[in-house]
Amino acid sequence: MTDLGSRQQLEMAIEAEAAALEAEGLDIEARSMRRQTWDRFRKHPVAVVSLFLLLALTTAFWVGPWLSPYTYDQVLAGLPNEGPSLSHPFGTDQIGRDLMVRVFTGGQISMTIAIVVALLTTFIGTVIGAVAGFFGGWVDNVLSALTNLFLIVPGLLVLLVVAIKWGGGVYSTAVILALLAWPVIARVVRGLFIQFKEQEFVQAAIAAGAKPGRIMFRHIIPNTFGPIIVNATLAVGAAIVIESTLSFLGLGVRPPTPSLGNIIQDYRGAIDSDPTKVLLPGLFVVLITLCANFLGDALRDALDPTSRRGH
Amino acid sequence: MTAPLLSVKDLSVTFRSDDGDLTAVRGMSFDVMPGEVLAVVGESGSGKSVTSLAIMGLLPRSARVSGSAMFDGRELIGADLKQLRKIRGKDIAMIFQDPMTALNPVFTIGSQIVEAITLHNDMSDKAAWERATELLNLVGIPDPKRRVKLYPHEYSGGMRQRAMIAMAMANEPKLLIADEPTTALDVTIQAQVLQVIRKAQAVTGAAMVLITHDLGVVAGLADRVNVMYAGAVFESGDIDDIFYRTANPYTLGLLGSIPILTARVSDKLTPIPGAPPNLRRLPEGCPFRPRCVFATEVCHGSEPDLMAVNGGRHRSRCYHIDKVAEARAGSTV
Amino acid sequence: MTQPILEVNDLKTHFPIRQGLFRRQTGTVLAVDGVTLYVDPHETLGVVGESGCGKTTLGRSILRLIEPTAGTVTYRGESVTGADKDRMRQLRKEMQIVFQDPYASLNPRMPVRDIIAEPLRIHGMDRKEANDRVGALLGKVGMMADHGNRYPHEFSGGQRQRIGIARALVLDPSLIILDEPVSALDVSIQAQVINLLEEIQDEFGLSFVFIAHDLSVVRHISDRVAVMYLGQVVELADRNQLYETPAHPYTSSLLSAVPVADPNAERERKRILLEGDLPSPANPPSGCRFHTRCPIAQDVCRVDPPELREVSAGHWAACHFPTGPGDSLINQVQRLGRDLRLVEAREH
Repeated sequence: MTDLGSRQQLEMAIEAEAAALEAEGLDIEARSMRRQTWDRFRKHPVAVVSLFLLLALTTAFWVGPWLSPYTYDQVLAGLPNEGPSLSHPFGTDQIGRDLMVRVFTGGQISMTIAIVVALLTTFIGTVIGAVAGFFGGWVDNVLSALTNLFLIVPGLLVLLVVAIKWGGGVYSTAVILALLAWPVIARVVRGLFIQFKEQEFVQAAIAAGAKPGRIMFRHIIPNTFGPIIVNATLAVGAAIVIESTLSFLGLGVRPPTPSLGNIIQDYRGAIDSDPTKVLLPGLFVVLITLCANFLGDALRDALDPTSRRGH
Repeated sequence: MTAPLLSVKDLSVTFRSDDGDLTAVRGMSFDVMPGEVLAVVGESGSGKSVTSLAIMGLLPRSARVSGSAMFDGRELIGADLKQLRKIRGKDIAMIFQDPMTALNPVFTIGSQIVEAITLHNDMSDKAAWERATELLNLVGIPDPKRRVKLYPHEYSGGMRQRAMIAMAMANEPKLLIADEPTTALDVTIQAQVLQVIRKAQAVTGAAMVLITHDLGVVAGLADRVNVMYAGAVFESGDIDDIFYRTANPYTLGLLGSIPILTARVSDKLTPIPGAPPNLRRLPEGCPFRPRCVFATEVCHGSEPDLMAVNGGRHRSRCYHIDKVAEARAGSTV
Repeated sequence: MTQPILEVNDLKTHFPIRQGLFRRQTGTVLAVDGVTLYVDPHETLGVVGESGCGKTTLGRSILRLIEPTAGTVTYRGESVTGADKDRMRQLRKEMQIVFQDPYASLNPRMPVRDIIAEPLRIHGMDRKEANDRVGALLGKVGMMADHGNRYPHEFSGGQRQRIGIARALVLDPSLIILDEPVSALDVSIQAQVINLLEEIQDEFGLSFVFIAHDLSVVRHISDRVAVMYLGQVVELADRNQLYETPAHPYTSSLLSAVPVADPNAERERKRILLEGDLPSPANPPSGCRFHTRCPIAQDVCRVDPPELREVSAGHWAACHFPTGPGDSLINQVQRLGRDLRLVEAREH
């Protein structure tokens, strides 16, 4: 009897709570949903650390050069190849530029490229994949052929050719990388759309009279967020690495504009004599890549209401 | 009196998980006599499948198993893998719900039956293949000489299930464990396969543990029945005891929940209210109490034992056996 | 005479089989192949059959979730198959569906309130009003109002099916297609959902098309029953007529194959075991599609497909040799002097 009584009390308490929430307005639901998402995200301590690291790096990259008394292309007479000191924490480069400003500005540029690449590839890939998967038929045939065409093109070769002709700028580098990376996401998204299109909850939406746009945006796309976000964060990591590679080969961002890649290129000869100057920018490349991947994993779980780790 | 072939005593299975321990089987005890068909009936989460997997030593390592299962004088719980392998497929054979997962897709049906035979018998390949063909014929697979050389995907669902029964029979086991053997099949195919199971059991004289949720299949096949709920046996008895002299509220609820094919007028069904309990947080007292129409104060105390009904083998886990029996006698079902 | 709420006339839904590099059509699956039936207001028409008989495709073709290849569907005298997109959207308010799989049929990313409100939102109702309606409906299907804030995965199979039923009810339809609504549920929960369906049918004056493979459940809930085999209706009758005096040998065999939860009945039962497997609907047998498994098939059955004929008032069967009243399939087999594959159910 006591047990039954307590259950009734509990139900009443729940109802009272619901009524109170109701009175506060209807955005309660959305907030509690966001709250749940954050709770699930917090279950990944590595991702939380990654998030803060990325925020810290971003702040440093953008605010650091602005606070610094030097600019990235300012040659300080008589101070080439300095070691770390109070006024130059990372030292100076061969022609006497402050290395910290150069690395931070380079980080800024590399990160910009990575984010532009991630956004562009995700956008192009999602749109093409979604349209192909959703509409099927000849639309799918044409778009899939296009996707496969881009996939089989030997990426690095094209990059080299295109970079020689149009390369050098920050945004042109980003666009070139994005054009090579979108087919991967398109394939993933197309598969997801084909899979979800047949699901009964989508059939139920059609049976209720939903138009194609609503079915796509309200019912299917939210279910594809997880894999898309993971792929986007993988793209961030990959873009940082490829940009560095390109710049290392002298085909990416053109000096004197710094990027993490071309700074490493500057110092490849000094790996034995002055390893910190290669390792520092290299460390940032690794850090950003790792953090982005950890973050992506956690976001996928956090955005999935069925994720078990959230409870 | 003959000794039981399989004697399970106080078997418990607990799974560890992030959300806390989950006890799927709580102190199960039962015997299987040679040659008899024991049906284990229950809904999802009742622990009916976990019990048989524990006996066969097929549970994942995260499961903690305690208690005893004596098979033909040998202890199975805690036995090492080498001993278990000698018993599995030889003295105890299993028939699963989904033959596609139990059969290896890259080998022919024949070679899998042959392997089952030669693993436990000193037999020439030629003789083993002949025996495999003979077994397929026995389970009613047409043109067995040709079909013995086919792969699982070239069989229909019903034929695959027959092939698995043939494989289970290969070494004339003493005990067959059939876990939902016909659940995935269409009605007409189910009738064929049930017929084959009856035949297989009659030919080998094996005892059988039949795990199912379908009371119709039980009625057509079993000698004795264990009704399971929340990881424990709630009622146990001869088939007529369970169906006609029901002594447990849960069994009564199950019988009231199924529409009868031959019923002319269809009164409203009398479902069991509520849902099965969360195994991580069982209610105090009798686990069925929150759903039970017979529940009184006493049911909140401790969980009832499995108590004898009329002194025979018929037993029920309930404080209100008399009231249930009365209700059973009054109903027309 | 009342006008039927739904009429289906010679409906066909065929799927092309495409293979190879150029996706050439190499065959056709005749999933639904000439189905004619009607549903009266407040009536439940049961549709039974084994896998591959086309019952699910039939349900979805009626709602044009799958476009039928030929034939007509008429709702209250208005052509559904001829409706344009806008009209179809309006008609969808009248005809709803409940699916079999309580896991796949609810969007995992939406809270239950939004799932049930979605049809209302699609048809332009504002959020506040829609939510009020959802709250009331949750109570009707036996759930609590605060359940609306939770996500589908937080519920059991039975509760999810209740949510699916609430979604089907929210537009206040007149006809609901129930596609195996209880076959994924445990026995005790199954009975709860069946009772719920009967209650809402009475309360809202609904017509049901109840698609299932469980013959006992279909007899319990239906007024009339259609039996399908390989894309066609082979028998259609009042439920007691169909279950007590089946005219088609497939119906008889199907009924005799169902295990009954009554040991005494099982001991006495004689059943006819059909031989062989279901043929593929991509390559159905000539003549009567059942002749390859039929215990009383004769030469004419191999060449001449039988029409669905009225064998007695309101009792239709597609067979050249329907079982007469007072006769039985077992007697028919014996009269033909065929090998009786009768089986005593229990050897006691």
